[in-house]
Amino acid sequence: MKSIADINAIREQMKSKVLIRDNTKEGETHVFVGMGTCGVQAGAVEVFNAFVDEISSRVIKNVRISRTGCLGDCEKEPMAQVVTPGAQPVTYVALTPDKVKEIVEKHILGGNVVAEYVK
Amino acid sequence: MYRSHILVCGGTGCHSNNSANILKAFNEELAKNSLTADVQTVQTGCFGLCAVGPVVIIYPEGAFYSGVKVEDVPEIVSEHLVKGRLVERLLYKEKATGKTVKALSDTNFYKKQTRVVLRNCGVIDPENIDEYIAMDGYQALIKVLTSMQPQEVIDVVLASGLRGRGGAGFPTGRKWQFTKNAVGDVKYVACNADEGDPGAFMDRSVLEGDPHAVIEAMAIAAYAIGAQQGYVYVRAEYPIAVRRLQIAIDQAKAYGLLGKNILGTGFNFDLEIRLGAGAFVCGEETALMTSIEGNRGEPRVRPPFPANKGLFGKPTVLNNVETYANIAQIILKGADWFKSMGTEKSSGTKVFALGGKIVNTGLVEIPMGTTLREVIEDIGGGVPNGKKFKAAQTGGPSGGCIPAEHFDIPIDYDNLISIGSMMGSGGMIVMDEDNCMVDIAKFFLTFTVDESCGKCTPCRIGNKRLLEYLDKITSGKATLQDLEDMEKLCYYIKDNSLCGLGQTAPNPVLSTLRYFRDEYIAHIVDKKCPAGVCKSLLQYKIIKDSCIGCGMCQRQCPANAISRTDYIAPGKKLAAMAIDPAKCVKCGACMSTCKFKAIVKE
Repeated sequence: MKSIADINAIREQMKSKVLIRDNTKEGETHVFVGMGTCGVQAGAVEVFNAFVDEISSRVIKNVRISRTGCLGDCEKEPMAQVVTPGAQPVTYVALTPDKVKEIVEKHILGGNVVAEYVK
Repeated sequence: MYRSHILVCGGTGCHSNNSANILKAFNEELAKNSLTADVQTVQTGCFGLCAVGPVVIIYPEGAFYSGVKVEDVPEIVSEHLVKGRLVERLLYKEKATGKTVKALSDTNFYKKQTRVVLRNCGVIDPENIDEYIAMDGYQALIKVLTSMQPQEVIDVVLASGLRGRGGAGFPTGRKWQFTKNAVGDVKYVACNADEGDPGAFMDRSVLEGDPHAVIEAMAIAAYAIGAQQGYVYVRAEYPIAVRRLQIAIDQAKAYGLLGKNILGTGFNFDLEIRLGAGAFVCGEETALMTSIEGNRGEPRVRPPFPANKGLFGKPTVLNNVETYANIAQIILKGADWFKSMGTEKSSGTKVFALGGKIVNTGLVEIPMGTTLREVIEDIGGGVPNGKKFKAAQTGGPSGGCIPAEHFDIPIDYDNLISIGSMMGSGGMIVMDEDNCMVDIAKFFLTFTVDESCGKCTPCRIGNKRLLEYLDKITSGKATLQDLEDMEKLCYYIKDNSLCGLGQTAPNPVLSTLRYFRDEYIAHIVDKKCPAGVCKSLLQYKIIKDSCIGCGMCQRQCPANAISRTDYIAPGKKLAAMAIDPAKCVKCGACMSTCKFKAIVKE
């Protein structure tokens, strides 16, 4: 038998796990990770996973993460494009999981583009 | 942490299309590629787009794969999950625009819906209580038990304007209030999951996709009216729904969300399933309760209403599955939120099971007040094969037809009644120019005649006589006097039957008479079925000047009704064929064989 506190603990713990299935995102930020051969070769899978982990573990709503094809500048992969409503898309280059953490923190949550990682 | 989730639909539709093996194949394939730790597979309830099943959704992209086969699984795993490339050929293509749609939420089918009742269907694993809890499940029960008085609960439900989704539209809060006020130490809550309308499967999908929502709501209702025991009456023909509901009840008991001293608050409530044997009349509330008591499912006279004298003679609240599925949301988000959806007198949303001549067969949830046109054209994708929309049938055997002239009517309880149909439990069957309206009325009446329990005379005998009139009309033997007598009989049955089944049984006849009287007249006076459905009024004919005399039709005819004539059409080499109407069984085999369009039915 569980107490109310137990149920609430399950809820908090499970929330981050099912968040990526949220289908009703309005005014959402869309993250595209370039996953052409060039991107995958350069480590885009790790970058993609880092985005998913960051967004899920912080229970951030209204962010959708997609895999997409080659973003065109193969030399600077792994790349990702962050599209926020009403703003110009921002393309980040030569990403690593650590840089992703910073981008989620400063750009997606804070609203400030991390200029040093931009193309 | 799982980086990707594969959701495989486990609703009845996709299940019959082998979705269980697709799930198994995904698990095997993921193991082969060492992805088991990164990718979670989940069997969910119905997504709604049953027409293109089996459906598989992969998150975080929300990639929407339709018509997936077991053989496609290795490709999806190696392309999508290993290399990160969507498998274009399996992505859902919108039939109307031919456009490939990548994400589920981008389809017109989903974009125009408002999902309240179905919010968790196709999103969570119905067999895992933790996923329901993650979606704020059981928070409403906690709120009610810790911070609200029973009367406050009823006041919220009352203020929300929620009306019974089983069809009649009685305000749910008032039902609860009557039961709370009723004198008695023992009270019950019951759930009507005896969904019997032909073509309706909303309640099944809710039980299959989100069973805890019903359990939570029943516990809230029990708290509000002062009950400690509940029953869910569900038809045995819904094995997946029954199984998932039982799993959900067991899990809720293990968590202390059902049983004695729930969550340590001192409130007791237990829930049991009762299986129905599939009698349509057991969807009527008094018959349903008689059946739970262990007797033959027959209705009884009301009043006394169940709120005063229901199950085992005790005050009882009985609501439909979809009604319950709204309750937790109303408690959590408030009556004003619920009232903000829908129309003034019908708040909230309604789930419809779209079927018949429609592109997107499936389950849709719309705010009340959405027009029929939006449901059929925008969400449903319109009538297939370029045919013309003729009517939509709502309310099953108790409802009626909505013709094209009312295409722009906002759907709510009162509007549908004003045009001679009714909301019903939410089956919506679309008909095109190839459907004969007399035949449709006959179809529904055959159903009610079969399902009449036989307790009262108007329903038992009246409907049988009514069906005989319809038989007479469709076989071309009726007179205009019969039509008049038939209409009188309809009103007699409506006014004198004991329960809802008999009182509404003539509705399909009355509503088709109201909008399609000309079709009845055509059957009676011209002895013709305009849609070409009623076999006894049809004749297959060979146009002698189009016939090249190949004889294919003669070889196909099972009744030896086709023979060669002496007539050779100009420009043809062989003599034309002809059909002997006395021998013809009207099977249509000749017409589908003829390559020269020389055979017509009229």
